[in-house]
Amino acid sequence: MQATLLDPHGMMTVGVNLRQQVVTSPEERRSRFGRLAREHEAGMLRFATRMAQGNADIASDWVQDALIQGYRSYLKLDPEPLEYFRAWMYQIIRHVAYRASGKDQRTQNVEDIDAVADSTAMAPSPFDELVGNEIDIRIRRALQALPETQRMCVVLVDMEQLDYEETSRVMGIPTGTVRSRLSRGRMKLQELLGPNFSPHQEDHS
Amino acid sequence: MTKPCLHTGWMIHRRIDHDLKGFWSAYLEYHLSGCPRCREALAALLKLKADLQNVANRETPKLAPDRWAALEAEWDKVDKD
Repeated sequence: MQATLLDPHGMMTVGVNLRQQVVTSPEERRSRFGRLAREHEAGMLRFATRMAQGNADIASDWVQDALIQGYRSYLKLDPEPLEYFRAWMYQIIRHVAYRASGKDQRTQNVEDIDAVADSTAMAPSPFDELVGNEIDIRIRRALQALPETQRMCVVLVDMEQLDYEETSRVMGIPTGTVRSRLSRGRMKLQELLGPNFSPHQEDHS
Repeated sequence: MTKPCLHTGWMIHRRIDHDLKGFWSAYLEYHLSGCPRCREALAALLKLKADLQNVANRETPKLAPDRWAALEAEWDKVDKD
């Protein structure tokens, strides 16, 4: 059984599994939130880094802000968003990122976002230099060249392994739109990676 | 890049996400058995998904210790409010 809750800021909705309802002390809540935050630290940073076009410092700022805002909301939510913690936090990170970059997520101009993506597509990012082999770097650059709306769907479903429903909540779009952006994003990625990036020619170690 | 047949594109994407069920799943399997082009498109998309997953698995970024310390301090403030 699920319910849809509105957070205290009235900005986001999140599905919560009512079977997860647990009555606990504030100390236990704090401890549980801290444990979940550390458990999903890498995923949150990966997601934020993709939103920040590879800038790890900006991504850390966004995740830190989101964890402060998230904790405030978490204390007020009953039941706690345990089962959906990751998707719930990604949603908050997305809001923080849009607010920080001055974008109005409801009226974002897709052409503008495409232009930004194109201008930074082939530029090496600090993230590229920090981690990864040649294949990883090619994939990360190709990802950055995707329009943001497509990139985020590919990142959430293919990299972070969220399902369509969770991705729809994080992005604030219907699941049908998730599917179409995902398939367009994948096709565009294949195009960007080129014919040499085929199943038969790349060796994956 | 091999494009699948026009009518099976959406099915192939949903299949690699384990979201294709019932009649459409059976239809796609039947179609794949006789269509090398769609089989190739499916293999390429499965490979792309695996590549993306591998990239994510190799990235384990962490927040710096001073950021965690700052977070604990902020959470303390929230607890006191």
